Amino acid sequence: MSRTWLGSMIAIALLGGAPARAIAGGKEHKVDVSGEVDTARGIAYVEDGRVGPVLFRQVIFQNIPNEGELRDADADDRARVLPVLVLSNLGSSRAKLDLKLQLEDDLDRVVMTCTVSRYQGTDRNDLMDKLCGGNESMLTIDWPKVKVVRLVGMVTE
Amino acid sequence: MRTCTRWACLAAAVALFAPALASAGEYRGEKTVPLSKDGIVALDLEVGPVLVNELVLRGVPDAEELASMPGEKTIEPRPVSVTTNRGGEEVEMRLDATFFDDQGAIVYACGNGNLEQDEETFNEVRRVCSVASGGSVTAAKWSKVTSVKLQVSLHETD
Repeated sequence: MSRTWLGSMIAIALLGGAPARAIAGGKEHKVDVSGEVDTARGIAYVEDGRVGPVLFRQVIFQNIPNEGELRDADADDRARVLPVLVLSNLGSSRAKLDLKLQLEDDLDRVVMTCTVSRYQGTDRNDLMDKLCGGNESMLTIDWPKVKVVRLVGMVTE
Repeated sequence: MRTCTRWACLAAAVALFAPALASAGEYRGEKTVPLSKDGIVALDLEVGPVLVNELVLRGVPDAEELASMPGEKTIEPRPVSVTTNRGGEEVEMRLDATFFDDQGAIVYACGNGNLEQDEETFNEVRRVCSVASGGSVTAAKWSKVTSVKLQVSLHETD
């Protein structure tokens, strides 16, 4: 086995996968954006939501507990709050979103979290629903304490 | 002094209040607001038990994109409504969105008369404009839109 051939093999082994990974993975952008939650209306506007090609605008919460449910809730009653994400992909190709959505209360406690892994086309103000699949829940009595919705993770072009 | 007999009074009361009784559970409302540049139009329009929180303008470029877009390029605005029904009855709704330029001329309009929402449900997201009802508009025309009027009519179904 010649030294040149061996060197070439080592070089390919070390470097060969890198371009393929870059193409498959694309350019990555770290996400850490948040918005203040209006719990009475169930709406949060994301502040400074531009991450790479994606602009996170708003989180709308469906199925939030109403006044009666909050008044009558036992300490262990749970609510399945359903977030809907309003976002724009301003790029020219689809983006992959790998996100964790979490709700934080006024003591910075995380009261609910769910993960999102979706592709987003080049839509403007699209609505991405069924983020949490209806499986995640939170204590009903915690809903009025929620202050912040935070999105952390990665956008990949 | 008696002004009417018992039955005459009852008949008069029925005649007086009949229109109100017939329209009980039916509501209408409208609101015109400036078009926001980011495509989320806050409305806060209360119509009976329903609060129309906002319109989200799907498929609409933002102001920066619009400025650099060829005027003949077509846009298909697909507004969706975000509504909360605080009442104890299911409602059937009709929503109509009309987009105006600064001269008050209609640039684009569409509506949906087949919207239902269960009682005590928050932030339902519904299409106001379908492809059939809305169609498309050129970027040049859309760039002239300055305001949107949302008209709501609904009735409770028990």
